[in-house]
Amino acid sequence: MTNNILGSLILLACVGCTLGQAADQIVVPGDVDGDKIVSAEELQKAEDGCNAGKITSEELAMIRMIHDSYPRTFTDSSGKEIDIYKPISRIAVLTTEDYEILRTLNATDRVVAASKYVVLSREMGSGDLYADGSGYINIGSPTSTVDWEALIEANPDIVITYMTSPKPEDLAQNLKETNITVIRWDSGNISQYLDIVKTMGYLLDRNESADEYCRFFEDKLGRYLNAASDLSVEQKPRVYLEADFGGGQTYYTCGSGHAHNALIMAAGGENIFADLQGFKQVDPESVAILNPQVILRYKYLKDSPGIEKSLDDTAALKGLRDEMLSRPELNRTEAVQDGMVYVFTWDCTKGGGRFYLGMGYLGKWLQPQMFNEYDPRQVYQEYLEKFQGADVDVINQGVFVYPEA
Amino acid sequence: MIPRVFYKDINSDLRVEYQKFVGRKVLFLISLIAGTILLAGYAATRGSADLSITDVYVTIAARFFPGRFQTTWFSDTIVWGLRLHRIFLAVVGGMALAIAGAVMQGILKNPLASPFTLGIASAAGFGAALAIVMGAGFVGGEYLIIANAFIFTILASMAVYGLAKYKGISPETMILAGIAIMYLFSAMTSFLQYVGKAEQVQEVVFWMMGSLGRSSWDKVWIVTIIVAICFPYLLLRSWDINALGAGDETAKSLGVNVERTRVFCMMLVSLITASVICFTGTIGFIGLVAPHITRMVIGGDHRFLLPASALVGGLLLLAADTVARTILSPVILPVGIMTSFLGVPFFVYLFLRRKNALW
Repeated sequence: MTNNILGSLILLACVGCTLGQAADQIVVPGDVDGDKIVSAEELQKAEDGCNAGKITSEELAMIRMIHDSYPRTFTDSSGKEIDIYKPISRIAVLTTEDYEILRTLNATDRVVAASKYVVLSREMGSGDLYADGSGYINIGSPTSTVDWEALIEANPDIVITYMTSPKPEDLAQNLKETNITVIRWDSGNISQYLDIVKTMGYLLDRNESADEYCRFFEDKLGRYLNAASDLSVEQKPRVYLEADFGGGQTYYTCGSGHAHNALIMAAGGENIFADLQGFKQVDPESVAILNPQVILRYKYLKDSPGIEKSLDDTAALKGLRDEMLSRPELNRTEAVQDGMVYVFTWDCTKGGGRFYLGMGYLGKWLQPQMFNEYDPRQVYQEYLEKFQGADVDVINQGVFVYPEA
Repeated sequence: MIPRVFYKDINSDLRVEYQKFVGRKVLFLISLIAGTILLAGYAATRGSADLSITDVYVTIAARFFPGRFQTTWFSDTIVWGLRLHRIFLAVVGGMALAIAGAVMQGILKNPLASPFTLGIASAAGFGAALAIVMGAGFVGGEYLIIANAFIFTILASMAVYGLAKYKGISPETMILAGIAIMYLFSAMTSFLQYVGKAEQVQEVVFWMMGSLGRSSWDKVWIVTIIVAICFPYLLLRSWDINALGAGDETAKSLGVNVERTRVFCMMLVSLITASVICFTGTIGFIGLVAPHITRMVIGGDHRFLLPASALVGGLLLLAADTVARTILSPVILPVGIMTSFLGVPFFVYLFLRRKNALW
């Protein structure tokens, strides 16, 4: 009698899971007592249920796998410890960087919903970079408006998003009636990138793909970055980074704790405003006083990321560089005197595969000898073909930086 | 029969009293001018660059007396290229916003009125957002955003005028029309932000954020010229604005063309405000509070209120910007934060001390 009841409960748990019902409790196949963990006793009951014909052998295999491998515990980039109690089969992804990681891990068959930047790749200016994503449910933008109804209707197990967008309170409020697990990744932070790839490989049972990709990264770019990390402060040029988000506001820069400071450091530069915290506007006088040897400026451009531009269509970036060179307060800095002023698109600062471009060019500007043999376009092309399956030519087209090395 | 000498005594006493009354206001004005000059002089010496006070003043003097003072390229660039135009924009921008606020409060007979009551900030924000998100505007190139902000501000004023004219120009109709326009432009801006890319939305937010970091001598001149043209007219109309404060009927009985005064003043205020915020973004606090602070000190006579509010506004914005760019040097804080930090305590102090003489 007791066995029958248990068997029925297991069956109910399986059915509940199969239907993907939205509830305030995650339903784990085989979990009878509601602790989201399949104990040895519950596994035994499931086996009994299978023998009695109440559940199928496939369902039993799933329950056994959950018993053996779950819960899986990890910490996301926001420092939150997260438990995953069952295999992830439905994913909503709000960031392009993490969508690329899912492609790298061959896990896009589990994606059910994505941001508008993936779903509407061409309309959002990314050409065919995410052409494979047009069939997903469009859940909007993580930084402006998430389509909460579409997200909930997609009924994902997890939603992957940025560190601070959407706001935690918005996510908590809008998803409180669901069992969607929120994972925040800082994939634009070079120091976390490979760990994120490995963690996602672990969560999605794609460890081999993750390892293969990490080897590729180390071979193509990582070894240069490792060499740069061994440089002493004296060997690194002083760098001023101007983060240009338009609106005529200049002299915004990034200090410690900001991913773009990490980019400079990783590429072998010394940020003159590393002492500042986060994203700040600084006094123009202080830039002149600190006399940078290299000036970097990135800007979001309307036709960014410029992936479909012809190679000689550099007017927009050249204009930004010329404006920088024309600022009287900077024209006695070593950077301006030596012509070491470089402009790149904001997209190059994004993580994922953009590291091959952004980090690569930074390395070539900041440590030209060390990165002498590195070819950003070539490596990025290789990445796109080998891990992304994207039919995009970034060797014969695309404008990302000015001037190129 | 009342003796003639009695009238004489009364007239004499009144004249003395009036002269004292005016004298106090003039003294306040002179104090503000002196305070502004002193603060500007101090602000010019403050910054990240290690320039001594002597270096700064020699650099300034060298421009007026070439050959008599030795200066360096560096100090010249810092003082003339970075600090002084920012200081001047703070002063003239603060003056412009405060004048606009004082006039708006006067013609609308509403203590909550400010240059932004008529949807001016919303219209400027929409104009900028249209340029940023859609790339559409009246002027191309680098002036696209600035021109859009300016033109939409003027269009908003004309729309308010049109709506108010339809129902009869009164403070109530103007405020209601202004609120309607404000909501309309806010909604349109929100729509543009909704359809725009995240980075475009960010640029719109950056543009709207009030800042003097975009200053240049060209911008200082443009704002100064517009204020210099509009302010004398507003000052000439200060009697009329005073009369409006007594009510439309009273003003009419005193010979004031109420509608024309209101419309002309509104248009000039819009022009002044547009000229500032198209360069600086939204700096909202000055226009609301500077006239109130001034009114609490010298009363509501617009002949004195307008120039004094202007000086208080200039002083307040200059003080706020100086603190904003030096208190956490080399970081520059948003000026809007500092205007509130500096202005609100002073406002509250006066509010508590002069609670019977507010409006």
